[in-house]
Amino acid sequence: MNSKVTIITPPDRSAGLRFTRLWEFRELIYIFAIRDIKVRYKQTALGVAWAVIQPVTVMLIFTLLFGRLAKIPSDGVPYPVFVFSGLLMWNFFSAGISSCSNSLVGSSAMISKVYFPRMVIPLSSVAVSGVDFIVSAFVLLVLMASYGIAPTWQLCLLPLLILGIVISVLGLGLWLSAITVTFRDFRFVVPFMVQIWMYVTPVIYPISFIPESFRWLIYFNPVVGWVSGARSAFLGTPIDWLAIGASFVISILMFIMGVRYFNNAERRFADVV
Amino acid sequence: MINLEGVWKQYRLGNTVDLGRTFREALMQSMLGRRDAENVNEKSFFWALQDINLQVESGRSLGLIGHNGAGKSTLLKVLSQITPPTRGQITIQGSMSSLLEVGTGFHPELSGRENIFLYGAIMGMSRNDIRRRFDQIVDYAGVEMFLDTPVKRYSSGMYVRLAFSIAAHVEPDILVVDEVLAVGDKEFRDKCLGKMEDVAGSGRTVIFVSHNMHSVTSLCQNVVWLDQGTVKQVGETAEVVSAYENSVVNSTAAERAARSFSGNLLSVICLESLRIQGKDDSFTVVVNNDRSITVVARWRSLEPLNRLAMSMALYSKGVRLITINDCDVPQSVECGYFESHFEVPSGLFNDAELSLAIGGKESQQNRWCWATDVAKINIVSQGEADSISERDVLSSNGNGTRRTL
Repeated sequence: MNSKVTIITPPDRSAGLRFTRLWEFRELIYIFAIRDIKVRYKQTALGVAWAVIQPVTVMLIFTLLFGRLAKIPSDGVPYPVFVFSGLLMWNFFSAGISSCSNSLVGSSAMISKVYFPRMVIPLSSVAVSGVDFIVSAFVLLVLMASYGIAPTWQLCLLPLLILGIVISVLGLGLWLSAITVTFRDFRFVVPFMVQIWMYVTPVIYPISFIPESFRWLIYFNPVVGWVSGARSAFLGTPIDWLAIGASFVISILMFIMGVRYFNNAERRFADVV
Repeated sequence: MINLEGVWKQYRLGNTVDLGRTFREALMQSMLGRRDAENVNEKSFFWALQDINLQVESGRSLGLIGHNGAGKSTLLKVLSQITPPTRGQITIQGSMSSLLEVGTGFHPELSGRENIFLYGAIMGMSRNDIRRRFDQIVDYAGVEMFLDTPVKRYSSGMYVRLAFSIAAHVEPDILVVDEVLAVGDKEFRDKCLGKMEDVAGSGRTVIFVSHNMHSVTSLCQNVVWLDQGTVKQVGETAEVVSAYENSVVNSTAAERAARSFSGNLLSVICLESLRIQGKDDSFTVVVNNDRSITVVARWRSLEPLNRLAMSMALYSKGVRLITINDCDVPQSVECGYFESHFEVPSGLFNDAELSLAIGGKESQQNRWCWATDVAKINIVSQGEADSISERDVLSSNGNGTRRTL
């Protein structure tokens, strides 16, 4: 007989972050992630090639529109490489937020019939975007090589930046996934929000493009540090430490609030979803 | 050991309207203050479980019985931590896994092999546990040939067998099983029951919900009879099951209908009597397939209603096979007594166990009342009649008439 004792009580609001229970179910996070990755390109003729085709197409269109026609400056880097390095982080962020926020509603059958910490669902849903990120990163390296740009020591910063963006995706994603369970409005809000968000993030333009008097505003955007940081890490341009620092603080705050909100909402999911 | 102390569970009524509320409504509510919301709440809450106190010793098997809506499934959900209790405390000693529905969590695109790992992990097994029991699971389910086929290509029988097999090999200290066995054929049911007896015999605790008294009797030492969210009786299986069966058998069809009636016409239409093949007191009616089935309902309307149709339906395993209205076009009724006469033509079913449901629908304001599982009608075939496909059944019409008394 297992000596494990479980005590079930009505929900209370004093719940902490509850990571120990999540740790017990870490294998489930892995298995859900593998499931999503395996299923993603099933029954498609081109398979994983889509992970290359999509960002490359977007890069071509942006180069034509913003690089050639609008002549947006790119800090002295060829525009295609410039915009692709920005899209790398941005695509991870936007895809991560979108799949996270829909993840709970999409698993409603499981939520009402099986017990496991619900956080497993949004956490594992981010993994698919991670695969696309890795594929894109290699495409970027190929693109850089074709323009004769060599990576510098700054590329070593990448793991830190990835950690940062994962924290901000999860912080916002957990909150959105929990609130979408109760208010389905957010299924319409999120795609819309993500679309606008890209234009207030230096993806298609450099931070230096913003008039100096307004530049402080952009540091409140928690994605700026990761997008501009990754660009510098790959292309060897000067690093904006202020942006990274500000994004880090805001992302951590978002993460703590997201987890708290999720934990408080978690137990009523089965009754609402 | 499981200990439940004063467990209550409250649900809000009108799921779709109240709970799926939109952001705008919530904003409005918070701006107008909470007053409106609370007024509604008083009426729209109901207690699915009321003050449940139970103790289950380890190694004993417990059956849960009761009518539809008695709170059995809610109790299992609270025990499995899917939904929290509103009040009270539950203490569980030992690991627990629950099987409330067969195959939830299966991914149709993945192969049988991949789904074993997926579903096993959902049920709380580690990858090593699954690897160790993999062969047993496959063996028991009998799907060796199709391990690398996506489960969306499985027959429904194979699907269910595989899912049950995984759940049965979790080997928890406490196994909680809802009425999942209803989905398979008889052979599968017996196999599952056998497996659960093994589990119970090996010193584990099984908590089992079923409408099938035979399964409950063969598996459980103790039984809890739930009625409208409260414990009506708890004790030795034989004793409680016979008390429950007496209450079902000794009631008239109209009483059974009244007990499970639901809907917003509930307080307007009263069922006075219900006769199936001329009888009103037996729960199971046996009919030869060469005879038609006659159901006569006497009812009373307490309000004049525009456009009302009374109807009956026959279900088999939860699937509605035929519906008969007592008038082609809904007709208005005054206050008073009425008799609806339904006739299901002969020869539609062979060897079927059907469940009768009855109710009414008022189409002007879209109000209704409905009672399921009012009686069981067992159709037995004489000789070898040709079987008739479901489509034929659905497209054929029964006869219904109404008269004012």
